[in-house]
Amino acid sequence: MAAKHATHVFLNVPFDEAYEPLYVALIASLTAFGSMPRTVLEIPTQKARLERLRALIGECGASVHDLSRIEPSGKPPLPRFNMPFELGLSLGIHKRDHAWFIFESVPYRVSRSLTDLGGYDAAIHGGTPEGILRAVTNAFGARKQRVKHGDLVTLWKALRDVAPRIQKERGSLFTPAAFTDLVTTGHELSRSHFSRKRR
Amino acid sequence: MAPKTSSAERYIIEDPATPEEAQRLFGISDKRVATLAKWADEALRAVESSPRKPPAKAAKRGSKRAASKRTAKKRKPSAKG
Repeated sequence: MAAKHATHVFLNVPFDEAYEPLYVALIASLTAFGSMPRTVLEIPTQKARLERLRALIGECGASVHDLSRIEPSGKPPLPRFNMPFELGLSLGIHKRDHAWFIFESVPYRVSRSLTDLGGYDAAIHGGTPEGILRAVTNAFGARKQRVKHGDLVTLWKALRDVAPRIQKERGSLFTPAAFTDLVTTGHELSRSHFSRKRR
Repeated sequence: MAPKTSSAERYIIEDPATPEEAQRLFGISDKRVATLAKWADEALRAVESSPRKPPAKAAKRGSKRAASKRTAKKRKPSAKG
C-alpha cells in the first residue's frame, strides 16, 4: 500500500447535480484548512477499480462520508450503496490512526439508516453550503493558520464563482479534471487570501 | 480495534497542502495552473471588495409589537397615584 498522507482527506460524497453547491463548499473549506481532498473520481473507470479505491483510501489520513442521499434515485429509482460501502471500506482499511467523519443533512436519521454506527455522531449540514462550512469547521482544524468563519465564507464564495468556468470547460463538476481544477483553485484561493491577511 | 470516532474530536492539519502539491499529485500542467490562479485571483478580489451584508439578527430584532412592549416596560410609571 502507498504511504499515508496526513493532509489527504478522502471524500465519499454523492456526485449529483443537487449536491454541486455542497461539493464546492466542501472542497473550499477543506482546502482552507490545508487539507488535500481526494475522491474516487481520480480512479479511471477500468478494471481493478476496487483495488485502486482501496489504495486511494489507504493514502488518506482522514475521510468524510456524506450519507445524506439515502432515497432511491435515477431511472428506475434505486438506492445508492456506494457511500455506505466506501465508509465500511475506509473503516476496514484503517484499523487506527484515521479520522472519519459522517455528514448528514437530517438529524438522527443516520442512527436509523445505519444502526451499526450507534454511538457515533453525524455532523448535520442541513443540505446547505453554509451547513457544510460549519460541519467542516467542527471536524477539522489547522495548526499553522487560524481559519475563521469569515475566511471560509470568503473562500467558498470565491470558489463558487470560479466553479461555473470550470464546469463550462470540463462539461461537469464531477469529472476527474474538474475535481483537480477545483482542488487546485481552492489551494490557490487559500494561499492568496491568507497571505493578504498576513500583510 | 475501532478507529477514531466520527465527530468526537477535530482532525488537525499540521502542515497545510499547497497548490504545488496539488499540481504534482494530479499532474496538472503549468499552463492550467496559471489559468486557475488567474481565475482564483479575480474571484477573490471580487468577493473581498463586495460589501458585506449585516447579520440577519442585527437587521431586525423581533416584531414591532415586541419592540413596543420593551419600550413600554422601560417607561417610568406615571406620577398619578
